[in-house]
Amino acid sequence: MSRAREGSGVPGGPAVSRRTVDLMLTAATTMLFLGFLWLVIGQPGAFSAQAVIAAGFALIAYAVASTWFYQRWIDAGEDRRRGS
Amino acid sequence: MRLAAPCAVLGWSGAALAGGSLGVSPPPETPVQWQAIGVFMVFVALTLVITWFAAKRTGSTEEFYSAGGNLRGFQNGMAIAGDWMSAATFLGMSGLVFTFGMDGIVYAIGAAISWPIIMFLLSDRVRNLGRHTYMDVVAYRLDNTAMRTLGSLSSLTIIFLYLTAQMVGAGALIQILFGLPYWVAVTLVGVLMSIYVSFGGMLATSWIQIIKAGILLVGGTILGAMALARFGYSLDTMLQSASTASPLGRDVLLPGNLLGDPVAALSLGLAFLFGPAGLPHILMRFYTVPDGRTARRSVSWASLFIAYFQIVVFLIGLAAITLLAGQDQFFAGDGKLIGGANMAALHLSQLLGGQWLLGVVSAVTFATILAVVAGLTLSAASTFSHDLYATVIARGNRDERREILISRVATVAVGLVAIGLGIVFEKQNVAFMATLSLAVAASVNFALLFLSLFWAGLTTRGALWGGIAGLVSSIVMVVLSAAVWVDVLGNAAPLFPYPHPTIFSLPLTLAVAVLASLSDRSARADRERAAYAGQLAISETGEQPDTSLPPAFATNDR
Repeated sequence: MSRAREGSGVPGGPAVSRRTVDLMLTAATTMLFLGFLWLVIGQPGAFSAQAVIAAGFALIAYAVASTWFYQRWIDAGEDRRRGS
Repeated sequence: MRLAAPCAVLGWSGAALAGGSLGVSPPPETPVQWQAIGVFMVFVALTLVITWFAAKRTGSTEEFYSAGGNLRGFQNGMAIAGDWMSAATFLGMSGLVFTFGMDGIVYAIGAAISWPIIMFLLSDRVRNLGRHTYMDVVAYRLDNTAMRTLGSLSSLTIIFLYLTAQMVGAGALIQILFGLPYWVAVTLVGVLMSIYVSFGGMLATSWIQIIKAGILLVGGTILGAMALARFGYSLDTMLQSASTASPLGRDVLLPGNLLGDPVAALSLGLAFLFGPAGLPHILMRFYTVPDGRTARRSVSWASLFIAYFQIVVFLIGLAAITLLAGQDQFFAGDGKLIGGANMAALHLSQLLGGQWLLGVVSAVTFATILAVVAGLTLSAASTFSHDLYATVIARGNRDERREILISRVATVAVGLVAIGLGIVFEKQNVAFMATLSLAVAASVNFALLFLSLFWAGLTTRGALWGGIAGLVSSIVMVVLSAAVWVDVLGNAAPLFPYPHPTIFSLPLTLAVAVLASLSDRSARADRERAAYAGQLAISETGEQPDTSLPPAFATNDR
């Protein structure tokens, strides 16, 4: 069989399998958090408290937003595949 | 050592504070708090009524393990949040911010950041491939007996470590909050959790989690709003006040007061990222919904509730730095907070709302502990009856009524063992148990789930060797770390320099599993590799492979 096209099932979606997208998203999330830790802990004093809190809250917001958008994205792909 | 316990109850947040760095002081002679007991009795009465109704609807294994798979996404999201938002999140993290300031933001993010990972990698895949426990997934194309035996060992290790930490902490915490003797508190928790689970199964456990999550969110919001009002809802004002009031001065606004070493911080970060994805009582929740789509929806709701709560608790801890400063009634003679820093949120509730708010918040905390241990107990009982009895011992020739009976007997046995462990470990420093349970969850359960779902080449031999390497290395590194080698065994210096082993144990598991799989030339290994394509299709669609599928779900990955 050929490599999956429109792997997520979303019109105009990337030409990779869902598995590849999931692994890329996981790697990005991991890098975001570990990068934050490395910057904040590795360079104490380099950032103000307000900046650290803003970045932290932004990461938390990312955690929520990414799950919501991802869920809708996969749902849309399933609906499309089932023709609904 | 007694007050290492409230630190430990606080589980994964408290675990980071192993070694007594939180600075706890002995518990005072606490008068019986009738307001707290009254509110708690209402909660217990409500949960027992729920259990009674649930018991009438719990006749099959499907109902006992998975609540019949009938929960909605919102309900299961609340229940997952209830499982995750333990006393660790509430008291542990607010105490951590109160003591160490800005490092608390790392814990707040850590508690939220694992949910995208669970969403991307696991939620619907675990639901589509399994029935009752996550081992259904790992054993899907690998040797059933070998995988379930290994999985049961790691799951029971995680559950009993965390259960013991919870019981010891619960006993000490309840002693402070309610003025009850330690053994009475531990026995009360053990008996109640056994009743909930053995009679009501997953249905009762789920609704207890939902109610508990609801009251925790409401209680936290009220306390947070009352605290923020003192600063005119201004974050800048709060930060400036904290730097003036804290013994750390302006350093309280700088990260690194607790997590000074970047390698230790990264190891903790990996445990936060991948540990929750390997917790058996969390994974089990994906079977309480009808399909993969609802499982994904559950994670969305759970991430929302958990993220919101993390922010609220962080702000409560930050506010406590200023508001508790100078309030001598909350400090012991040695200048430390009475009952330890983990009591910061409770002292704050008393300061802001008097005895009644303290009573409500105390009761919510007790309810939180009770709900978490109920979830752990159900997970342990399912491991015994579903993974060990039904699959390994009965070899699939299961008798449903007998399996449920075994589940209920296992529940009572787990309850008795938990009470015994709670009493035996009363005077021990158990903070390492929470660290170890999260490390094993990340290094064994998550690693095996990840490889089995995303790598066609995984074989039984690879999974077994990798799992054993992860389990043994996690245990050895934690035993050689300061939390056990110095604090429990009394040695002068740790042999392993970091508090968390995950940065070493997780890659080790993956490497050993890959190498052992690649070198496996057996016929069984070939069959297991060949079965991956079918597993992949089912994991992503919930349906058997169909050649008429559009290419979106076709793959040439093997």
